[in-house]
Amino acid sequence: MYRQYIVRDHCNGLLLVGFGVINPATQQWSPLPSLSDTFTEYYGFGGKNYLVFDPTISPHYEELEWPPSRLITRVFSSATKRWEDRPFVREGEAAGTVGHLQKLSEYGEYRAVYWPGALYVHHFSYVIRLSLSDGKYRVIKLLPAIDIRYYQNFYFGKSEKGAEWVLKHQNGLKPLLPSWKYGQQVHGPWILRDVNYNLYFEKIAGSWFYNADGEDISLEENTEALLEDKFEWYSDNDDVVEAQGDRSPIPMEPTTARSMTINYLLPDDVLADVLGRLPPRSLAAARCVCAAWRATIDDRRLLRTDLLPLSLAGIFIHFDDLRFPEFFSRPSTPTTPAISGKLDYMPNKYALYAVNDHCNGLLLLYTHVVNLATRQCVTLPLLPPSQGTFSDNYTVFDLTVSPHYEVIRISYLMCNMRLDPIIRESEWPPSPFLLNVFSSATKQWEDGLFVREGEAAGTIGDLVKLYSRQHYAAYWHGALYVHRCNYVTRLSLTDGKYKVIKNPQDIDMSKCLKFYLGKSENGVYLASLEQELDLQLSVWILNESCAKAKWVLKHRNNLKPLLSCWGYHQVNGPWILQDVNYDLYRKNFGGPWFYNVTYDDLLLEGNNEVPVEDKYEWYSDNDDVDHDTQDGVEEQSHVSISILGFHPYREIVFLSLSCERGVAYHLNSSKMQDLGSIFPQNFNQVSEVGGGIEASFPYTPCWIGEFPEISSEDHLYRN
Amino acid sequence: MAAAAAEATIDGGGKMIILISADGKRFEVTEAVASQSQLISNMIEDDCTENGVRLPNVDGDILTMVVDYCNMHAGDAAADGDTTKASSTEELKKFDAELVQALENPVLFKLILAANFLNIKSLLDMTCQRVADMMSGKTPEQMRETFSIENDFTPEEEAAIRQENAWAFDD
Repeated sequence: MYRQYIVRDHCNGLLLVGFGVINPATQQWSPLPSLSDTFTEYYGFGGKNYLVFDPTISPHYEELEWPPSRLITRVFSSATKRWEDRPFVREGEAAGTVGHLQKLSEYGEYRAVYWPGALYVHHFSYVIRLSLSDGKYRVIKLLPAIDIRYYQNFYFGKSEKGAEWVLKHQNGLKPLLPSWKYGQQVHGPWILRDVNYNLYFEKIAGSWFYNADGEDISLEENTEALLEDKFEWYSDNDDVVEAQGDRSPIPMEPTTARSMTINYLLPDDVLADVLGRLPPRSLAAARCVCAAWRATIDDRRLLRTDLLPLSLAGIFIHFDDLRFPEFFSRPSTPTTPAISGKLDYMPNKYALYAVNDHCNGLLLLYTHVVNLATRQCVTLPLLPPSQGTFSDNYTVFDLTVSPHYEVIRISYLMCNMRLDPIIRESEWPPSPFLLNVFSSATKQWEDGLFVREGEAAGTIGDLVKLYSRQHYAAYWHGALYVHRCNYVTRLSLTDGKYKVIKNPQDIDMSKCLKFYLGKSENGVYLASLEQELDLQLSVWILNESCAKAKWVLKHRNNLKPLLSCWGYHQVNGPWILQDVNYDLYRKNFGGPWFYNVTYDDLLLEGNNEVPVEDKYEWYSDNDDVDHDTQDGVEEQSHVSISILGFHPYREIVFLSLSCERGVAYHLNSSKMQDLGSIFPQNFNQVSEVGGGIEASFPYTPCWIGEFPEISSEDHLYRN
Repeated sequence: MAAAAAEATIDGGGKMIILISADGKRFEVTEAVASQSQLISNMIEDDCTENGVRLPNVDGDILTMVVDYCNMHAGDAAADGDTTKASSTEELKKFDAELVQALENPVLFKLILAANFLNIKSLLDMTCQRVADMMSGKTPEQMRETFSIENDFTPEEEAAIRQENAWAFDD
């Protein structure tokens, strides 16, 4: 009743307190027979007792007293109820000299852990592992990486993994502390039971403290300790415990992770190093794996979706006879940086730069691959023209999967080619189909042989009769879809196979159709526009869920009624044409402006700066567009419509009305919305009659630069 | 100098350094080989390697791999110095690929830890890239399976996280 009870050890539910063993759960107390003090004095070291108890193996406990330099220990066993000497034989090296260890031993508490069959006693700079079953012991040194001068507080204990020095967690806690507030919260999820105070309050005899008498303390009213479930803290829960005043969450170590898993072994900065190497698409997947990965990715901003080609910036339009593609775009806003369509960094001052293709931020201009956002231009090595056939180039690029791009040259049949009758009977495309593939990874053109699965498109004789001006392509899920007249060639770039997907059956090819193949919200879309009496627009989506790909009609509407009440008294629409050609010409960029017009032939008109008006901002994300007002209608008698392309992420088709206005046509509401003038400055002076749009490509900027360069020696004909 | 006692010399003056693994295995390597570790390189500069370098968080079998790697790559670190022992680029690539290819996950992670602790940039680079390659192109489920990670999101949370980057899950 009058003694001080110090907890000296704990093992699997038993507390070693003073000179007895307590089980607080069952409220049992068992005193230990006292030991003669001469034992410890004899060895010249302070003794210390440790408990060994594992109820899953035996109901008996043992207590060990243990002088560090000589391993004759005294063991009290609850089975024999006696203290006995038990020697332990050392295996391996000793911890050090007595003199050295004595110096260290002034620091610190010794703690022990009982872990399958062995007692591990931490002795500041080393741990002694006593194997109780065979009377042997070993010294396990602490990590020299721990500078004991700085580490004043150790806690050695049993946790999930047992005793193994794998650096599990190293963190300066100091940064966590300034944001740590506990002022507001009087009661945390755990409470101190205030055992001393309560016992004293209940008049347990003896002094409360060593040197204070009971009467010296003025009793404060001790309100009942609050046990509030809402503060319950689950140590088994991986979630973070939020600091009150929510500055920064304090991450808790996952207790469920297995000891050999990546999260357990790799420190956060190394994990970040690994994750930082992933392409964006895989990084987005990794973000869903577990909370730790998501935190690492988000905290370090590893996934920069803002730099990816995930938003539409405008449309590149290649007008007949103009040297450079024009850029029709929404004006820049504080959140969307400006893209300049000016290609004044193109290498050849006298070339015509027609846009052949666009894919996820990369434009293919004849033999140049250009990233407008980062103003990079790479010139491809020249490839000898293919013999006897014609060909188109397409670019394939998906930064979310790989930083490399490919350019693919595909031969096609020219309309009304003169051909040998035997050749006219053969199938097209042939199998294997020989394509030329340039890869930025290898920096050279290579032959690509594609083997056909399924039927061909027809005989060469039949196919050469067909004519279509546009040959658009779409890249979707690792396959390139190229449209030509009445079929699509689907090239699977991963396995060298191709398929022919014929046009939807309900297309009347005799009606002078315009086609556009592109990527939009739900995959690959095909649009056709009839050019005769009716201006019928049809849009299909390619459904590849079954073995045979099928076109599913998404939308069909005659646009003529819409146009009859269509007016655009508004001179400036929400989008503007950047007038690339005119500006370059005014700045005396070398070379002719047009093919057949020199500078001096042109009467320069003053080019007023196009005002950028925020109120006209067109939100492609907003479907609720009003039909444009009809006041100030100019009667549109002979409108020629062409398809500028698909919005890559919304079901919208962009149209050009007589090369003058760009409009957005919403497939879901059948509404048309004016975007602005697309007519290039001075175009009427130079364009031949009937000059129109050669090709156009909705453009999604990619802000990640550094696509692989090609050195100048690569610019050679390949033998 | 007292330090000279523990420093054997070979090949015309290259000092030897002894690395000691967590489980007490000793490895004798030249200074040039050991210096690929920035940590050891700093220790050499500070002249505190005379009693051997204890590497308490690197197991003997992991340190064996690290030492093999450093021996193999001592050539490229020495730039245009003594190239007689330098391995050809092809050999190195083959060696590197074989080193990481066959490793079990925990061993690979321990090798990463060792490379990180010893600060051997090229080894850390290669091993981290190997792990990244194991993740690349996989779905979240496949990644969890590859690395034995428990999904600690609720289905609703996971759906919401996927939705944040719907473009990456458009299959």
